[in-house]
Amino acid sequence: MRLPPFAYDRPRDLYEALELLNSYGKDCKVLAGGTDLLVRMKQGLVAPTHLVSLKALSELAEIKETGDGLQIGAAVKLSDILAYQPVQDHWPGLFEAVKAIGAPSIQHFSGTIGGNLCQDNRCQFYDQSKFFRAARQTCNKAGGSTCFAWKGGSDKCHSACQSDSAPILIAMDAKVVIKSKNETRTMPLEELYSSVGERPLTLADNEMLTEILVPAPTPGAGTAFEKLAYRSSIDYAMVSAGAFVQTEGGRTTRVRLVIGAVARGPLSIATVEKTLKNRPAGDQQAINEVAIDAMNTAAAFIANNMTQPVEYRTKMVSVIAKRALTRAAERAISQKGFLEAK
Amino acid sequence: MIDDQERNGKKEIMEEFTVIGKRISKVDAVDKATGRALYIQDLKLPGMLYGRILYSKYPHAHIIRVGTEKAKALPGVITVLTGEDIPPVRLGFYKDNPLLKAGKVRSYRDEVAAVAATDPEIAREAISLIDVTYEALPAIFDPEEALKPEAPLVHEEHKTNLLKMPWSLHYGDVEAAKLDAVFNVSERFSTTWVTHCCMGTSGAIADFDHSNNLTVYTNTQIPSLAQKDFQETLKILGVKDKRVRVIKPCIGGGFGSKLDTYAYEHMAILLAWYARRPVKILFEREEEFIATSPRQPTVTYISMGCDKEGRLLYRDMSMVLDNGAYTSWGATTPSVMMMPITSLYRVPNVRYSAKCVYTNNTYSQAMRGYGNPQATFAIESAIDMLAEAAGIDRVEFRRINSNQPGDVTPQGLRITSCGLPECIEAVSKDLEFGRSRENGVGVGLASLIHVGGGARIYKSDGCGTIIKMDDYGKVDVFTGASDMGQGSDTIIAQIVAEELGVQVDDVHVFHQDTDICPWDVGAHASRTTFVAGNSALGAAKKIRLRLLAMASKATGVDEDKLVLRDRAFFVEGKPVLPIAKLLRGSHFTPRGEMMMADNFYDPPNENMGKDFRGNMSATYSFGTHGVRVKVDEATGKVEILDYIAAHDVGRAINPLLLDGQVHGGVLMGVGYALTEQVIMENGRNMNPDFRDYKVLTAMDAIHSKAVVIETIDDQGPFGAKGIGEPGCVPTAPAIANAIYDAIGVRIKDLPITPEKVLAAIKKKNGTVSCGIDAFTQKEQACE
Amino acid sequence: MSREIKFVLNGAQTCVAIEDDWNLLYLLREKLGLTGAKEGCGRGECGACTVIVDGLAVNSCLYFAVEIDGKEVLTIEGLAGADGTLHALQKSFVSNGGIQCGFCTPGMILSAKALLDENPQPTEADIKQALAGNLCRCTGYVQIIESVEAVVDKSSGDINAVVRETGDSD
Ligand SMILES: Cc1cc2nc3c(=O)[nH]c(=O)nc-3n(C[C@H](O)[C@H](O)[C@H](O)COP(=O)(O)OP(=O)(O)OC[C@H]3O[C@@H](n4cnc5c(N)ncnc54)[C@H](O)[C@@H]3O)c2cc1C
Ligand code: FES
Ligand code: FES
Repeated sequence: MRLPPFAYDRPRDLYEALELLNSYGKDCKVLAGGTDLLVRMKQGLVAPTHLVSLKALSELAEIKETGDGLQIGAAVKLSDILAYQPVQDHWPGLFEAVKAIGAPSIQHFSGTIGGNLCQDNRCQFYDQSKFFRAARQTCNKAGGSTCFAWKGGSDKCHSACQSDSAPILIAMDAKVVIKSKNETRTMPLEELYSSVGERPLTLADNEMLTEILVPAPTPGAGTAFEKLAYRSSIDYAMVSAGAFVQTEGGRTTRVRLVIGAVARGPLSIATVEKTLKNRPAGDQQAINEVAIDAMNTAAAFIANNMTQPVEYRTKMVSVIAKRALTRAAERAISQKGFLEAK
Repeated sequence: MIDDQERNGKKEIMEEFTVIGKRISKVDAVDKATGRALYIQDLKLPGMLYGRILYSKYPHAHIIRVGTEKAKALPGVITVLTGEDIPPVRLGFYKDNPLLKAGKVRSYRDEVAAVAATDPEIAREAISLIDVTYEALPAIFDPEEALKPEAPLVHEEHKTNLLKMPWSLHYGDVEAAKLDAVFNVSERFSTTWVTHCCMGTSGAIADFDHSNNLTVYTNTQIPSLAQKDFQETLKILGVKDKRVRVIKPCIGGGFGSKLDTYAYEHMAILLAWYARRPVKILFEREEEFIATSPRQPTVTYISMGCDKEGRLLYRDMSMVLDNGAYTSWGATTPSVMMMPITSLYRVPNVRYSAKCVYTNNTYSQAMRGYGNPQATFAIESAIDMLAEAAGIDRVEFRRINSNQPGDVTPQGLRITSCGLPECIEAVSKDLEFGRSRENGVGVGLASLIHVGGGARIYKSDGCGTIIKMDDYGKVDVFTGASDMGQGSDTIIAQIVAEELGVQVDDVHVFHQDTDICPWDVGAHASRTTFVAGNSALGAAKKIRLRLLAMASKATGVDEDKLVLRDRAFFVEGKPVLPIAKLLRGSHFTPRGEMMMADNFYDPPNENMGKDFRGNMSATYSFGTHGVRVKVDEATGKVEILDYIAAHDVGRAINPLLLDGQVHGGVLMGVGYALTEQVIMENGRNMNPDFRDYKVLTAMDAIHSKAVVIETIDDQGPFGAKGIGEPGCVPTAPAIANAIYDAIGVRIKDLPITPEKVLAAIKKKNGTVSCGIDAFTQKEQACE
Repeated sequence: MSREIKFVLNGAQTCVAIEDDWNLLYLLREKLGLTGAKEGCGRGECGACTVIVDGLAVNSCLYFAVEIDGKEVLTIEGLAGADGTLHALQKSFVSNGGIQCGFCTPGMILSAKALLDENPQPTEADIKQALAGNLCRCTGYVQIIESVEAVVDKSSGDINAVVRETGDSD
């Protein structure tokens, strides 16, 4: 299928790339692995006039461990993250999340972590061909003024952020480095997400995600990612959860829980710290309580944006949250490497 | 016809087979492994145009106007057709489906206009430039609702939404048996749309020559019947007495989808006719989901009863089938459903009726099993329930009622060879049904009966074969059979090679071209091995006799002392004359002979009578599947731990291909049971892609144990029966039964998605909310 | 915009003029006549279009042709030896029932090849994972997985050693 015409650039360094972004402005898209962008272009959801490819930017393709933790270039391939031994050893939650994206082989050899974090939100009424969409009114996300995913309609877009890596990275307090021609800012990953379905990222048109910074593992910490899907691959999550648990002497001192695929952005559950702090790590009753909280929080957001029923996905938030928290706590206590803990 | 029966199956005693029963690679596999095999996707003709179809925007509406001016004005557009422009071509055996709709559309997949252009992108754009004005009509999507008097009519001229189909039978006296029965069950089951998902999408190229002879390259399982359908279309175009040639490229999967001719094929013909150039229509994946016909959904009411000892006394079933807006073979699946309904297990009194109902949904077609999976889901689920009611072990209950060789069932099916008891044994032994087990784990089983010796649906169930041998002992077999990947070419090559004492590599099977290949009714009902196999065997047998006679004359050795094997004639273990040499002698000589033979085989089965009695197949295949599942009670997800599939196949002509049919059938069956559904929202397909239509992946693969029971059927070629479809027939009920065993909830509606399992668990535990129904999006009652 | 790209295609230096919006699958099938890679969905969901770019299996339907400039591409047509000898995987798929309708086959074989190049001794789980983006409707995957395993078993040495195509059925 032919795409509307666009100009393609493959800058040789980051400076040149940012320069291009700056001059092209709003009709320009960053092209990383293309596994998300190309599908959207084929569906006629986006029609950029310029594509700036990251393929030649070796400075964005590096993953390394520094004193401060893990530094992942935005254009690092998903397969390279999985193959990186320190990730397997110290960040099992991240390993699980990346592994759960799409089909482990093919999408992983093209898809990048930056692309995964920056992919657009999804909805069963929006992520369809032109032909499919033509039979209905134009929805909010496509520039119209209705939402089919929200009971009774809505003036807001209720698409879901389906990135599998975002929940766990946010739970681990990852930061992102955002660059434009004139500015560099570093901010918590969660601030990348606007919670606006129509435009889910807070990036300006001339900005680009260049790096993801994951804090170093601390003794007594554990991470885990859970994803619920019908199939074992090529499936987006109905619900996902990333959990981080820090323990000291068997008690939880710090904890984060982020639910994915249910809201317009990754959904951080605020009450979890209050409920779990100072409780014995892995305390099932406390985890249950948090899981229910997570479900109730998510319930306000879950829209009919997937083929699976809203009610079921809502219930599953508690199950998936509980599993992620429990496994993260187990890992925190046992302090075992990923392979044993699995 | 030569009488093969004498030898079939008995040869084994006399001598070892050289190729029958061996794990022989598919004859076309090397082409496919190297990317050389050509599919419709890969074909182009010089000057070829690209056709595209415009579908309806409404499930039910009047067409007020179709504006084609802008499309016609687009450079590169050669032809634009609407329902007003063409003569009334009607599709399907019920002839209720106009090729291009005029006046009214009845479903979203209704064809409203078509274009042919020099480039696929131009065709796409042209389609988007066609302006159609509709006036929406009230639509109906629920077949049970569609039967109510106030329901809108899908076809006004038909006066009712109920199709005039004769599906009703009653053998014995069900009412009397109900009084005698000690244990009874009565239940409602339902199944939904699933679709073939052939990896190669549909497509066709139509090409007229200068004198209006037509060649159609198309993905079809029915070359001879397609030829007839295309002839009819030509006739309506006013083209009489011309040749129609059907050429089948490699087919990227069939599973029943190519058993009827579709609008796109006829549209390609019309576009080619008006454009005077070859036209290709190739579906994209979304179109494949939307505009090909799925397996038909059913609502089934079943009651069944047995006596104190667990002997089945009656089975009473009625069904409502969603026919969709038009009629294809989906409406005739009750004819095959009758087989399991009347004849799976011994049951003396049977009643069955089925209503096919027009709705504004997509229309259905044949799919692997042809109704049998839907019927077997209800029957085998209910068998477990009845066994439980009677307090009899599920395996024992099936043993008590198992079909046996020599049975004649109430429908008049004559069971000859029957390995069902052995299949049940194999499964129960393997899965250790009595064993205690951990929480959430359960086992289940279900059996099947299917036609294994053809199925006389039409007047003929025949297939022709021509065999010719060349100077070098190579064999060309021209068969009517259609290989869609299931491997019939290989099976035929093996049968012929065995009979003629040559190697499989010496045999080339042609099946692609109606100009060259003889007649056949089509690849359906698992009939190819049996019918085409017997046909080829008969032809090979004729050649063999002639070769023997010639060799005897050439060598002076008596025919019965000559052994034909390894490409030569042997006398007392020593080669005396290579076949090639004999053939060269006979061709290249004054008054020579050509080594060629033909054979038409029509199996000794019967059309069903008015009361649907009749032995529709020459023999029947049986099987039992067993499964061990683990249910995640928090999410409702079902995991398959072990799977065993035991099949009575008569004889495994090629165990390698047989295993492949079983593994493929089982995974398709598991998808049917657990994950697959075409989600229809008011007639609209909501998941026309592999992202949301959940075909299982390699990570979900199930290493099923395939057990083969050989009963060496008297009528089958070397004792073989058909096995193409059975693999996916009993899977869903086996899984449903295992889930019940595991967690005590019975799911009666396919697919058994996690949300349904969870809702059922909640209901069992007495929780008030029972989840949202996947189809109605309404809260489910928990009563 | 159109431009010229240079890349190595099945071992041969190739130079073609392309349009920026072409994807690799389109270039291979429609412009270079290499129809071995198939289009099953065009959206990254089926793997029928899998080819190997610089040693990695990718969905060619989601890969812009311009991005292969300077890279090495292997398609199913380039897998057998120049004299027609089949690659061990092709041979194994043929003899172990890994092929039915064959539409998924080129993609399957190339996904398997990319795996074995990376990891010559994969476990069954590794194999399933490597094939997880390649749908097959015919085989239920069992014989496909066995076809890959059979190559692994034999390949304590060089798995890329080509096996002569005998045409027989061992
Ligand atoms: C069949 C299939 C299944 C999939 N399943 C999953 C799944 O289960 N889970 C999941 O999370 N995803 C899934 N995906 C989506 C996608 O493949 C992955 O998210 C992948 O990681 C995207 O990476 P990419 O490099 O290919 O992104 P691209 O397609 O190149 O980019 C995606 C978006 O991010 C923007 N972008 C990319 N890099 C940057 C950057 N550095 N700065 C700013 N913007 C940037 C692009 O402009 C584009 O809008 C699936 C895709 C397919 C086709
Ligand atoms: S065609 Fe590329 S993945 Fe299906
Ligand atoms: S062999 Fe047919 S899809 Fe795999």
